[in-house]
Parts: sequence; structure tokens; C-alpha cells
Amino acid sequence: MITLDESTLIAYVDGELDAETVRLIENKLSTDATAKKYVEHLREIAALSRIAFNATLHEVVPQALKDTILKNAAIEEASGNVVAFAPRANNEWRIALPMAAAVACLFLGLGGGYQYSKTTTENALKLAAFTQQQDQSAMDLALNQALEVNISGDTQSWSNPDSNRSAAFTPVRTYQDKSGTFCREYRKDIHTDDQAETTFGLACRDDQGQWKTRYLILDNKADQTF
Amino acid sequence: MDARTQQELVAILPRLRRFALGLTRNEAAADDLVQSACEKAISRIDQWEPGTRLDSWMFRIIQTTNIDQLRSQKRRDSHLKVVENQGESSFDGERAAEASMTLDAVRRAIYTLPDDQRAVVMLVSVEGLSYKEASEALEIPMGTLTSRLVRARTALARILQEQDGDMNIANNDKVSPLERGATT
Repeated sequence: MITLDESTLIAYVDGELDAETVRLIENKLSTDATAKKYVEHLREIAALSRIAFNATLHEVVPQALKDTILKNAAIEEASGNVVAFAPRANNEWRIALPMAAAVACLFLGLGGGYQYSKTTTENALKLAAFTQQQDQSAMDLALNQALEVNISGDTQSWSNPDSNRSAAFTPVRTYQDKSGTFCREYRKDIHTDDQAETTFGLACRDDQGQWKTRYLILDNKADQTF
Repeated sequence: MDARTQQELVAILPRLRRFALGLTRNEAAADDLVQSACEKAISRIDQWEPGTRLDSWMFRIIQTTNIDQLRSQKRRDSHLKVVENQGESSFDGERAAEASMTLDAVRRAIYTLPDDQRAVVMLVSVEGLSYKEASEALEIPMGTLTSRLVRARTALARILQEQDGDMNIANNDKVSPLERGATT
């Protein structure tokens, strides 16, 4: 007879139990509301833990660190055989987090960040992916420009007729944190063909005048909010 | 180390940095730790069996390197100081987005866990390793791993529930599920 103690439920949430045990547990859970709630709570914490550390995953790795590993490769592969890595996709896209409820993506078991890139790249042809990367770089520049020079409420527009993609970047609010760093909330509207996507971000300015997005919130219901 | 392994190692650097951040709670210390671990890995690459997971092997090196460093440097006090300044919470509280506050709270809750529990949470919850992989990476028996995991999870559940009633993380009912009997 199986008991729904904490360690069993934790192993269940972590997917560590065999199919038969899972079936027994799910049977018991259907009649034990408290345990069920606890399972949801555990799932939520596990998913939030993943998302909470996502930012590190999408930061630029310090070159010194890469060099530690690659300095020998450069000698071994002197003639340029080194396979190039795909250019980094934009940070911001991968730190997407649904606004209304972080919970929404939690139950999908996603690490938050990969949600966007996964669904798009699955269907995208290589060429489209390449164009998108170029667009992404251009949009990064436009966003940086908007955050650097636009007053709050003023929109900076960008478009690429070749890819049928356009974007609008609007700084919404400006703060200064305790260390004196300027941070701005912004709204980003991107139209690709007939698809529209609105995201809200929070970016802070570094010493070099680059705005680094710390949080990005994907709003699927922008039309209702605004 | 052949070029392919080197590239694979570069490709997993973001995950290694994330794990190291979880262990050290400090970005600069995390990069130092990953740096040391990579140097060790390169010098001992013959100990890695091609075909097995490079990431698990690296997590193990990072973990043992961190323990060695903690023992030799006894920098625990400086680590604790860093925790207080950690995170993006220096914005005016009411202005920060709710989502970011929740994530901040979760990160800080994880940072309050003891070192051994935090390592387990980072590997199982954050990196998504199986219990077996995590116990191998940390070189601890499965039973030790699961008991640390249970202690860590229940502590996180308690911390996050105590912190705020109206954050997403909190359940609506006032009774903590943890307060129920151990066997139902």
C-alpha cells in the first residue's frame, strides 16, 4: 500500500517513479485534495526554480572562460576547420515569461526561456532562421536606440519589408536603482506577417550604454490590456 | 581534449555558470569556479569516458572544486555578505514587476538553503538531472540525495509560503499542506 508522504510525492513530481507507482499515486491523489494541492505546490516551486536561474543561461559567457577551453583548439585546427557556433539569439526573446500568471507556463513544465525559440525554430526553415537572426540584431539595435534616446511614451519604429517584419519599441517608465543605474520598462510590439506579439521588458543600462534586458514578459493578451 | 569536446564544453558553459552561481551565490565567484573547473577538466580529460555525459562530469568537477575552495579559503562570511546584496531587488519595491519579485524570492529562498541541499536543488530542479545522474555528479548515495531533496523542497515550500500570502507561489488556503499528517 502506498502512502502519499513527502518523499513519495517529491519523487513523483520529479518523474522518478515507475509507471505502476505513478498510477497508484494518481489514484490516491484524485481523492486527496490536500496531497494534490501539495503536488501542485511542489511543481510550482520546481518550475519557478528553473525560471529563476534562467537569466544566467542567457547571458553572454565571458570570453576569458571560452578562451580557457578554446585556446588549444585554435592551434589544433589552424586552418579554420573549427565549426562556427550559431550566432546568439537575442537574450530577451528567451527570457519570456507570461505575465498574467507565471503559473501558466509552469504547468507546461517549460524553463520559461526556451518557449519562444522552440516553437518558432521547429517550423522555421534555415533561411527564415537566418533572416530572423538578422532581424533580431537589427531590432536589438533599434531597441537600444529607443531606450537610449526616446523619452517615455515615444515610440521607435523598425521594419524589414523583405521579411515582412516590423517592430515598435516604446519606453514606458524610467527608474534609477540604488546604485544609480538607469533602468527602463518598455513595451515591444512585433508584427511578423499576420502575427502580432507584445512583450514588456525591463532593461538596465550598463557602463557602455548597452541596455541589458533583465526581465521580459510575454503578453498574449495585449489587446485586452491596452 | 579534441576540438569536438572543446566545442561541447563551450556549448554547456551557460549551464555550468548557472550551476556554479547556485553554489556560490555570486556571479564573479561562479565564473572563477567554472574557470578552475574547466582547467581541471582539460588537464584530466583522459578521465572522462567519451559517450558519457560531459555535463554531469563537469557538474561533478565544479562541485568538488567548490568544496575544495570552501575548505581552503574559508570564505563563508564573505559569501553570506554577498547574499544580502544579491539579485535585482534594488529597484523601488513597488515598481518591480510581480513576476520578477517572485523569481527573486525563489532565488533568494534557494540561496538560504545549506550548501549540500542547494547543490541538489540546482542539479535536480534547475538542471533537470535524474536522481541517479545527480547522485553520481555529487558523489553521494541515492538515499542521501533524496533526503536532501526532501529537506530542501519542504524548506523552500515553507520559506516561500511564509514570505507572502499574495504571491503566485502561495496557495490560497491558509493551511499549509505541510502541516497535514505525514501519512494520509
